[in-house]
Amino acid sequence: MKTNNINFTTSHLRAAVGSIRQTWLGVLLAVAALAVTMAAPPALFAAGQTGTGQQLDAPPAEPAPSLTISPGVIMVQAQPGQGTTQDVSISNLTPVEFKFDLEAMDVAVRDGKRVFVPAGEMPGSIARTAVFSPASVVVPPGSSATVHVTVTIPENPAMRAIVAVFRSNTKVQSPNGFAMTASLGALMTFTLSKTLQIEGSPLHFDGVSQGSNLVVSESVTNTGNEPVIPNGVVAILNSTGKLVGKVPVEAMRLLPGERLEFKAEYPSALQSGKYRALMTLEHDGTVLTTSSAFEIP
Amino acid sequence: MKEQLRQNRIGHDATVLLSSSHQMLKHFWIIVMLLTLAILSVESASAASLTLIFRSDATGISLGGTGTSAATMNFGNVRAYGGVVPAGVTKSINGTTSWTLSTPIDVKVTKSGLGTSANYTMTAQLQTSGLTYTWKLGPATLTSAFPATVTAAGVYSARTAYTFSLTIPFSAAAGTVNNTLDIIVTAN
Repeated sequence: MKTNNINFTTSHLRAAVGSIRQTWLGVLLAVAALAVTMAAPPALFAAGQTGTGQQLDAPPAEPAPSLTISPGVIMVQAQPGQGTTQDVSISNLTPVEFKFDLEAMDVAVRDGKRVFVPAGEMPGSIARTAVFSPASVVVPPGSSATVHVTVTIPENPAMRAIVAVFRSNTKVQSPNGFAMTASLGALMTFTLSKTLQIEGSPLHFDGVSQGSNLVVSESVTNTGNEPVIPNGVVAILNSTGKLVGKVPVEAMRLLPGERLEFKAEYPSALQSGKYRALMTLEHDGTVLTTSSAFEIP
Repeated sequence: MKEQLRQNRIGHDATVLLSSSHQMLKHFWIIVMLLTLAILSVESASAASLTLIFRSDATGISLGGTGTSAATMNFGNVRAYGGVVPAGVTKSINGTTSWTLSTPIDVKVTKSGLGTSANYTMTAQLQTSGLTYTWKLGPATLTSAFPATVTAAGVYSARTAYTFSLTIPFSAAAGTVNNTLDIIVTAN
């Protein structure tokens, strides 16, 4: 009888423990699933602009028969005189064979904009030092190829970025017509010092008419010597200084001398009144804040 | 013997009962390890990458190989005056100097794991010289000498239409025109 009691108690306890175990495992699996979801890559279909000539596709059920380069961007911290070797791969998911010649170009900045300059054309060219191994690859359908690119930073480099390009040398069959073939480049940026600085400009407002979404933008120039990637937030304050709302500013890479418009769109229409916008951009522990007043009629 | 077995079973269950926290701890560490492996594999699979495909534009010429990274387009037999042009191709006469064929084509660039790249640069270059004619893609005039910038801030994941145009001077002799456009995309 005692044994039976124990059995009875044990079976209930066993059920209870089983339930606890299941719950415990359930919680852990849920946490695991959540963590894996959070660790998953950012949405492939980022918020894109829609407008003339642009449309967003639905996410494909399977990868498109395309070329993919990986990594697309390589950020290197180095010293002048140092060398670095990086691996860049290209995958061919198309049904045709591709032949690529490897080529490096310097990324210079002229009038605030990037331009690709053939290796060696500029003094202090980094691209001129690039050595690819192998120098060309043939990638059959469904295959990939990896190339080692070794770069030696000159003593006085004139730029802080190069592109390592898989230049398509594929002869696409196109009798009596034109063909298009894809080449993909990996951007390599080099940070050689701590001279990091950006400068802003007065804020610019679009869509200030009542009922429109407000777009706040600021032209930002990298006045330092190294690449930076500022990101930040725009805060909208009303006439009493109360926070009305804030929206994030997308991070963008700025090479030395480069100038870009950092923008944020306030997602809902503001009521008429006087406001103040503060755009705060942060990079490498440095903060740049710009403030301007505006009025919604 | 039967009682002994029952006691053993009870004992076994009791042991399990007493050590349930240890079992849970064991499960916890197993799941932590699995979780770590899962995160590592996800990160490994999400290596930053860039993909480029061409697509026929809804209002443009039908591309061969649309939806892939190598496409073709065929204007057929066309002439400055008279004749017909393929669907999606526009013909225009530029005074007394030249005539132009143009059509939009779509380019779609997607990124994965490139969080700090807000947009992309697209350049284009002819594979062989075509100096007799004027080749354009979007705002860029193309040559075989160097890549011309088509856009410095292309939008990821958007099918963006760029107008391809070929301008033929009236002074050019009739003949076959073909070439390959090398479209070069780099993350910004």
